[in-house]
Amino acid sequence: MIKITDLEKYYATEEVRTIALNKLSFNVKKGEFVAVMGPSGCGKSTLLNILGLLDDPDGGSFVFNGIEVAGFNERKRAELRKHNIGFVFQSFNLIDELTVFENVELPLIYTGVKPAERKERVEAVLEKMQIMHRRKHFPQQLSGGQQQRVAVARAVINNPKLILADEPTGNLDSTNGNEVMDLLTELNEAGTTIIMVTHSEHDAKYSHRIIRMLDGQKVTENILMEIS
Amino acid sequence: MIRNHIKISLRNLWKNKLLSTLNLLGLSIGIGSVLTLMFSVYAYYNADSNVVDQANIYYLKTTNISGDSYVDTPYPLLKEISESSPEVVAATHLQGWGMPWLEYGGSDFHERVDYVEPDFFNVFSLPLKYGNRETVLEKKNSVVLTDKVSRKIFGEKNPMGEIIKVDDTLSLTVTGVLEPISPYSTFRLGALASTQLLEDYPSFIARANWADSFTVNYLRLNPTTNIAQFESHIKELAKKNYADPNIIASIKLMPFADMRTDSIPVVKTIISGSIAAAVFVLLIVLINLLNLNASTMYRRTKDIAVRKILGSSKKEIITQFCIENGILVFTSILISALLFLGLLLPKLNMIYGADFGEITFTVANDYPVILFAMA
Ligand SMILES: Nc1ncnc2c1ncn2[C@@H]1O[C@H](COP(=O)(O)OP(=O)(O)OP(=O)(O)O)[C@@H](O)[C@H]1O
Ligand SMILES: [Mg+2]
Repeated sequence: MIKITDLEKYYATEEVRTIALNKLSFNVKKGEFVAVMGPSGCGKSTLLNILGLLDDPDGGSFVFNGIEVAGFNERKRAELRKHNIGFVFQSFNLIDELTVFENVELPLIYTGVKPAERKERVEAVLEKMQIMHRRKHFPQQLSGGQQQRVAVARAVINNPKLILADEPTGNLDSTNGNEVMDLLTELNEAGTTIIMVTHSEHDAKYSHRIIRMLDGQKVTENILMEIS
Repeated sequence: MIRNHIKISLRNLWKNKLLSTLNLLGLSIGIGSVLTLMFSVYAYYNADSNVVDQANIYYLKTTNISGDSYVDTPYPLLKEISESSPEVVAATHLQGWGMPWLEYGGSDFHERVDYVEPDFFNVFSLPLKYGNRETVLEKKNSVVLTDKVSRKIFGEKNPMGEIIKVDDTLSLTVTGVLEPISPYSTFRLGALASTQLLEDYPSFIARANWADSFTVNYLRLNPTTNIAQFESHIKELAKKNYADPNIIASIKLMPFADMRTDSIPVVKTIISGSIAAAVFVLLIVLINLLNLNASTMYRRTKDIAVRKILGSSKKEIITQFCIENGILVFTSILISALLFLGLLLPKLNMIYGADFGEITFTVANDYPVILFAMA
């Protein structure tokens, strides 16, 4: 599903030029659950931004579902992104001015789904995430675990083929963290491909494969479970 | 989509109540002030749009040897000019003489009366609601009322032929009623009567000599008139007739459009002051608006990022901003309109009213101001 080859990304400020990704290559198969680990600053978030079509690489190739997407312009990336990719972040990134229901509904609005269908789908996913009773609350009125469940609900509402999670349990205690990991595992078992950045060896064990990075490069790969 | 934008905008504004209120207040007061200032400027420039063919209307302006200018001449001069000059199409005095009591049906009204020649309506083509403009002031005991005064004395009824008593001595017959005069007009008319009446007053006769300059003269001239030549002709007449011709430096024909600033010189200052103030306030409002935009933008960087990730286009994000600020601006415009109509305009009339007459606001007449304000 994903094939990156010699991917490069630089950040240039006035004085220094940082190499965030240095000829990074790997593949991810459809239905796989991959964990990406590495020390702070090694380029994990940068990688997710590119995989999530939020950013364009400076060099190398990125084939997504058989299409070369490196060099796509902003509009084309956005189009591909909103139909195929869901995001979960460490800091939840819910919109404070919207209720739980409205936050989850937002991606459907952007993909042009009709109101009646939106209501049905949002309620179904909130039910599944066991957060339905909080649908009229605002994010600040929820616990961290609840907020992350809302964020996961929002990430999956468009039935994305790929979910990108950047330290999804980073701000949660172990109980809430495990709950979110169970949710992701469930989604993966239902067929969604997941790439998750994490600092936690415990969370990484939920995945099929761990890619370890250092200074923008892949150093090792541990396969925990072979998938066909 | 739009509903979602509006909802978020309102919640955002509500969440930052203090900031929103401050912004709203600032914008309202700013826009209200600009509206008021611009309106008085507009009123000034449209002052005499009801006087047609102004280019050929002149008044006389005297400058004496010590450099003082005034818009008055001795009373008999106009007659001399008219009788000796084929260039004059029509000429009239516009002469106030006290402010008499008008009595009708047992009620008394204190109104301004100006005395004019029957030719007045050939100089100024003010439209008449009732009466025939050719003959309206032909008879000595005629009076023409402005629409306003007619309504005051007679209500809605047609007053033609009614008798009004003036200062308990004179009886005048209403022979005409003017159509409403633009409130910004140079004229502050109440009622018009014939100068023939005036010439009966002993107190007036005593002053209507060649020594006293106190009367305002209006002339409609043939468009082909050589103004310089005509002015020297007037100077000749002055030299021949004035009791003391040597103190006169010049008598000039001034275009009607200058009358307003000539008779009330401070108007010009007020108007340029108003324009400057309006520009200044507008600038502040604009800066405030930019500031407002920047601060919403700042508060919303996370919001924007998240929306972008979820698939929102740039256009939708910009729309969101525009709506939030639009709500503020639109509400301010509403508030400032209320402020303007309810407070500033009446105050303006209180200040200006005595000199310039009442300024009224009707959407039909004054939409250019609104359009300009919006731009
Ligand atoms: N917008 C940016 N401008 C300049 N440099 C950046 C930018 N974003 C990231 N970098 C640099 O690129 C490198 C990789 O950053 P990245 O955020 O991918 O690290 P990370 O692996 O996600 O770290 P962490 O685990 O702390 O989140 C870092 O050295 C960082 O300083
Ligand atoms: Mg990171």
